Amino acid sequence: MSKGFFLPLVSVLLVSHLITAYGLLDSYVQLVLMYVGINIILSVSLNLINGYMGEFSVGHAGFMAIGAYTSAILTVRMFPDALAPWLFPIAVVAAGVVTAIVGALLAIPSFKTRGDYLAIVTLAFGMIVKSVLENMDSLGAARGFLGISKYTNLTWVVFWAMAAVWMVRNFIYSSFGRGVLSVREDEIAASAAGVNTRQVKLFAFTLSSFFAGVAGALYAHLLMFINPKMFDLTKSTEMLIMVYLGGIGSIGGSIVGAMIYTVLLELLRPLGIWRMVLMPIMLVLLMILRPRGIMGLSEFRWLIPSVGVSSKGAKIVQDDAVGD
Amino acid sequence: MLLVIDNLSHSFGGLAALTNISIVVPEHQLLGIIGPNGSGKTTLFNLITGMYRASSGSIRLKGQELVGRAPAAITRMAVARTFQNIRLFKTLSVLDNVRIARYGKAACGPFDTLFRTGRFLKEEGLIIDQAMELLTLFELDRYVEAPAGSLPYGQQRQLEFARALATDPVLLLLDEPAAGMNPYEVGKLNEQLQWVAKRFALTIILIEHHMGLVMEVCQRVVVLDFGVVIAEGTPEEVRNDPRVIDVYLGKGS
Repeated sequence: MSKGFFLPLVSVLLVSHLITAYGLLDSYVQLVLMYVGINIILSVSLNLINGYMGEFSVGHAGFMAIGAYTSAILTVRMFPDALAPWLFPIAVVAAGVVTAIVGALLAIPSFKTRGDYLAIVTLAFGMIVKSVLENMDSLGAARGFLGISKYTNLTWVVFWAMAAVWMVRNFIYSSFGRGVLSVREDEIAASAAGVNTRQVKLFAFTLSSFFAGVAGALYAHLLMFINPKMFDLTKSTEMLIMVYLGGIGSIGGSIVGAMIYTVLLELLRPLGIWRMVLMPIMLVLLMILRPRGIMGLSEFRWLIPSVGVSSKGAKIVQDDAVGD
Repeated sequence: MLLVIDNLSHSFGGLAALTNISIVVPEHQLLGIIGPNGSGKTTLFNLITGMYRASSGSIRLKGQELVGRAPAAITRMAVARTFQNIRLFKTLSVLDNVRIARYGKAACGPFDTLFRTGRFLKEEGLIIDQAMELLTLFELDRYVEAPAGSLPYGQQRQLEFARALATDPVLLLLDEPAAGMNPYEVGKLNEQLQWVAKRFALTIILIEHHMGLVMEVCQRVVVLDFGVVIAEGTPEEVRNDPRVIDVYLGKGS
């Protein structure tokens, strides 16, 4: 683990634990913060596919749904009631793993097709997940899945949001990550340079869907109720907005995008139905004024690892980013 | 023999691009491939590197069949190439362009990568050192952080060359490296090809329209026309071959 990351990580986690344990913040503020965290996980993971790999996935809500339902089945039906609160972390990881397996399967069409065609595959995937859930009576069908306990708290959300940011960053600044970028830039040149493009795509899809599944699990145990309609195309669109608002190909952008979108949506709540008019207008304006999003392919310095300390002593900062 | 191309044919739909090509390349040779536009030179490169799958015939590198393997697998078997129209990763830094070519050599798996273990950091450091060494050799070290697309044309060619070498090739395929260069730059390329071939113990196949370069640098030349080998020999022999003169200057000249 890089040393620069460890201390802030632990202290943020400690603070969020104190907030959770002693109710230091208003519960509404806590709730909004948890939404922010979950949305950071979603947008960072989606940015991996849409920003870094340069594909256009619109099926991320489908992954989220799989994670949500998997974890709910585990905590409500599989785990003994007395142990369920303690086993919740396992349910979250399991939700991520199951979703990652599905994500790996969805990587297969990406071997052969890209661009608009792959977008349609992901669109179809999202629709399939939703209609399967709607027709499974054992999972409550369209009525939804009831009786989920509230195990998600700020500490868990902060922990997973940091884990997502840290791991996606580690992935991007590695051979695999550079492989993903090379696929975006020129797939033929990438394969000529020895990049195993299938391996790279498989890894990116798996990692991305793992965290979408985790976000789904946290979401389910925060709302205590899930139904298939929550994970429709609107949800995927919301994630796309956060990614493009913050800026594609930037982890910092995804964090900022998720924060602004979530908080703004809450602040505009008094406007009632009009916020759904105002929000898109603001987006259109942003795209006109800043077509690459707020961060647009650049990155916060603190997110760029400085491991490039060469043995010859020359310190090289990795550089697909121009700094903040 | 390093590379043995045996009875290789390829067609696009009904159009025969290459017909029964047989070429043998011994180790450490600099082989030139010349021929008019559309004679199948680049198609041959695309077949060797697995970008296309040959319709029939075989390509063996040190006895191992290349036909049917994926491009990345062939690169790992130490075959590298450059492209006729430079294909860099334009928005990525010069350093990243070269580092990407170490992909096939990186041993760290998903676990080491995601948790950024000590093993991973050590390997990253090594990759940077190797990339920097090549960039210094090609006098690109002062552009390390610049996006590859922002380099001047000549430097882009050099970077593509460095990227190809970063895969540790035994066989290097260069597709018109002198395209768009002035006589001075061609002269420099001439020297560079010779010392790079020696230093990295390379076997090079060179597609080139610049006859001066081919005649000086190559030990042997193969002439293609309409997908068929029409002549083969030393530059001297090829230059005086009546069939080659016909192809280049027209019959009766």
